[in-house]
Amino acid sequence: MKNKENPKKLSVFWAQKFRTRREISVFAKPCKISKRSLKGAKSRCFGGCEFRNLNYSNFSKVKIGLEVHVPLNTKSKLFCSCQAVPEKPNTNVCEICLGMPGSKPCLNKKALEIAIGLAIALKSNLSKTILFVRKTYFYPDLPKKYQITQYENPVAVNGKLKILNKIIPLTRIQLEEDPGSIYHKEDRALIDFNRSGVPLIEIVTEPKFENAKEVLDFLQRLSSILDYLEIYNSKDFSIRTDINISTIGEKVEIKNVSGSKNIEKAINFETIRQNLLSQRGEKIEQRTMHFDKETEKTFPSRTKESEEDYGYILEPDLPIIELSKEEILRIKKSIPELPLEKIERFEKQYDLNSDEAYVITIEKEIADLYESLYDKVNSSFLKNWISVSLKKVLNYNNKKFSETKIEVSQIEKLIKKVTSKELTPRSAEFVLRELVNTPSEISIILEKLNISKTSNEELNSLIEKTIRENRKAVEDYKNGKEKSLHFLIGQIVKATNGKADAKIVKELIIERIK
Amino acid sequence: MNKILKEAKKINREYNTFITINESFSEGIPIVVKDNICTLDLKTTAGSKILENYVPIFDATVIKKLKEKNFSVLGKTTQDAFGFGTFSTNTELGIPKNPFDKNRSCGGSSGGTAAYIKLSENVKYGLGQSTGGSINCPAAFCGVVGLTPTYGLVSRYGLIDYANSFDRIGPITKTVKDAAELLTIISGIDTKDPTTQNKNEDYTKYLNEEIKGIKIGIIKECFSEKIDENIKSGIKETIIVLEKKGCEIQEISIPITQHLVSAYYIIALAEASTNLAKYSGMIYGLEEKPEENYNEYFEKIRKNFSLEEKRRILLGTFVRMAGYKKAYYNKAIQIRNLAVKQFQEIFKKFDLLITPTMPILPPKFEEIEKLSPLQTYAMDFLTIIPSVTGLPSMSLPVKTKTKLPIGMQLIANHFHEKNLVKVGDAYEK
Amino acid sequence: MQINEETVKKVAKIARIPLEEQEVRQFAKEFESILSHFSKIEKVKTENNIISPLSTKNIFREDEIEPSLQKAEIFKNTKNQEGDFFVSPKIK
Repeated sequence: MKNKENPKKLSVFWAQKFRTRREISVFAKPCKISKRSLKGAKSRCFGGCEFRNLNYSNFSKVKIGLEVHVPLNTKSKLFCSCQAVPEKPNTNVCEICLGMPGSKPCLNKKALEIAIGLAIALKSNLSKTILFVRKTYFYPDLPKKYQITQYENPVAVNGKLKILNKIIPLTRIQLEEDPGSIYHKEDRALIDFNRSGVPLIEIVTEPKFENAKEVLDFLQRLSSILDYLEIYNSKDFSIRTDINISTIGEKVEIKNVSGSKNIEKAINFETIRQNLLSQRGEKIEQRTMHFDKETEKTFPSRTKESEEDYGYILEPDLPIIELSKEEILRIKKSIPELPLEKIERFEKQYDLNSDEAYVITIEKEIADLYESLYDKVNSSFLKNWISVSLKKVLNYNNKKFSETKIEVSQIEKLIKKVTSKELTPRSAEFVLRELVNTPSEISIILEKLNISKTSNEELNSLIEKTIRENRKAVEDYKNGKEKSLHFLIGQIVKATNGKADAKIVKELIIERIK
Repeated sequence: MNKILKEAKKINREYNTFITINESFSEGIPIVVKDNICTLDLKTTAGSKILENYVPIFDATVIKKLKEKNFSVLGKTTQDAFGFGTFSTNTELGIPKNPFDKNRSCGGSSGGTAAYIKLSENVKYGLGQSTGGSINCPAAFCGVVGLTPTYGLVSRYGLIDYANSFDRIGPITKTVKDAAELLTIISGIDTKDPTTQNKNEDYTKYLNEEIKGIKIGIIKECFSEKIDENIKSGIKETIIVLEKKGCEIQEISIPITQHLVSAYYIIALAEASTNLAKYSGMIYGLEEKPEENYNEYFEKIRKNFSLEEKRRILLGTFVRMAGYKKAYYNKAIQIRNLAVKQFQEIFKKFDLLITPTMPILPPKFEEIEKLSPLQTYAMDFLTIIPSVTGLPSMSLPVKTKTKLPIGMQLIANHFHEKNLVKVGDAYEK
Repeated sequence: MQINEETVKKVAKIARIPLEEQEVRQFAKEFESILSHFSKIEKVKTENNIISPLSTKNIFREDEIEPSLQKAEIFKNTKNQEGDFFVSPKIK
């Protein structure tokens, strides 16, 4: 958190979060500064006024390290042949992933190959002999009460990933099994073991991040690599990250945070919490924490990490792994051109700057689409349209390009219609939205939406006319009356005898009014 | 009622050989199975109250193989809980009594199987299980043949784990011939158990073979004053018999054997403590309605472990704790590895090694109660030698002047069970 | 090797096994003698390698799916079932 990031704005934001009197704060301290008498033991003010007095310029340097858990998209689980997808509870289970007495694990070859491929992509050193261990601890989601994971001799060590402003060293890359899922209730918990045994790759970074922005950049680039290697299905399981943060005290670990917004909030909250404590003169203890999405705060978990002793031993039921040079070479050859290399190449080959190249190459499909269209359409238009419009529509519909079943030739056609002025860029976006939802011929869509060059011109002049003739309604809308907008839309649709598409009209009007 | 079932119930009433008798047994070749080997739909307890009502939902691989050859499980036999013991006395589910003297132990931990095989007129085949000697010991104490195969020859899939690095399943039978038959059926690589190897063969073809020229080493450290005199003289006479049959006998000193009990127990208990973590009242095993928070619940359930189970779990947890792991667990593994290498060298010069199976004759139950844990563990020092090194071994009942049986332990090189069968069979004749 | 009652209690907590005071005392005594016997292995000269020479190598399973268990089988050995879930003690 640097002062450069507008501390005043930030402090108001955070102060608003904590000024609630009745809030039950885990940092329960009576308000020394305001000396207000607080009613009831539960009411604590988490220094709403302390925030005004917080010395942001004196914030200690933050050191952040990550443990990223990536669930793999293998067909079966890591140590058994159960399907590795979410399902009705306790449907994809067997005696092995339920940890029944007498069952034994057997390693999924594909999972190992994926881990090795990722380790190579992350420029790390593969262990000559790969070993598994038992990490013993007592938690209801762990059927055997030990997790088969790695300790000495993981898949790989000493990798690196370049982010915007630095290179993040990766301590280790290892393979392990996922525990089950817990659903908390008031007086009990419900456990679903479908997820138990799903393969995870854990990537541990050195504590070289200094803020949330760097962490998010890292995770974005890592996701990109996962996308290129086709090893992660974000629809089924999410990437979970443990965040280790230290300022001047001990390291605090925030466990199991998923989603970039939550990660950013958790880091920011924890940074402030630690600095607040140290500016109060209090010690920061080594703790395990969790992040509450609702209150957007970190809070300590029950057992102290220091009390657990995992007592790692070698997993005696699994053989040792020593892959031959030929095997490793085969895996290496199957790795496609990776994001960083593609960015460099695109910059040179397609005359893009680094930002443009970055945005286009985040997802491999989009990069491939760009390359296949480059020679066929206007390149300057292409780069903007792909980075902005195409990505917007795909994200909105939560689909990858390959999932839409749109053909490259259709995109080519659509773009050519814009560059030849037959369609406006805005209209093309409407067409794209339709294509994404219901793939069909472009000409059919154009007819359906009643968008063509002529009708476009007519529509635009109609809109101009309607706005001129209804200045009051326009003013009302500008002052917040939604109803006036509906009125205007209605007028136009009526004037076209119902042919105009209300959604399109709405957007055009709004844009015109701005 | 089926005469086999009738006999089983009769013997069980007198000698406590069974935890469960398979009431639906009707046809097929009867086999008695130690109760830590999972049998589908037939209660499997591993001798522990924690699994008192556990019914497996799958068959162990060895059971599948036996069923394919028309075997049928007659009953699940008594044992030390989870294999934790040398006398089959560490159990609340029935302590088996020695066929030779009901006041004496059957040995352990596969005591029930060994006793039943000795006593039964109808049943020739029994499955035992060994981690530190639990096939050979009861075989010796009950006067029957016990064959502990090479680690990795027989699948452990479906065996309730004690120490995964050492556990084996093996035959307990009246004769070497029956042991060879049974081993042939149950051995072989299993895709479900990646520690198995494709090294099995038909062991019955080694019966009735010449044993002239077989080189036998007598391990010096195993004939010290710690061994009962009757046992020493019984075995020495047997060795003379073998010599007459043409074997070349030579004494050999293997000093590392004095450290193998410690190395064995450290590794075995470390693994056992992780294997028994799963018994925490969830999914299977002893359970209650969970009312308290999870740690309290787990403790409430695990309080029910017996004293010996607690002892071994705690010791095993200790030796792998941060700060102690290097001196105990890591060091024990290094010693195990060293011993394996040494024995691999020794077997370049010898075909078999001989020791007594146990240092004492089958003890009375009251004598056992007086032993300290360390004294009990030390009883295993002979059977631990092949256990910790993965080597196959056989306990053969030898001629004795005493009323109580004496077992001689033959140890062969990895996957050389043929030498055990050859010599064992030749001696029997 | 000093194994005192504190150590026994600590180990028991890690292993989630509650002990009576009498058991703590008994184990402390026993472990002292057992572990001091075990620690004699320290004297043996060994190579610094923890990989077993008997271990199998590179045994894998293809990434194929096999049918999972039926619900009746899954819950056969427990009464702590609620619908399709296992009931666990609470985690607060």
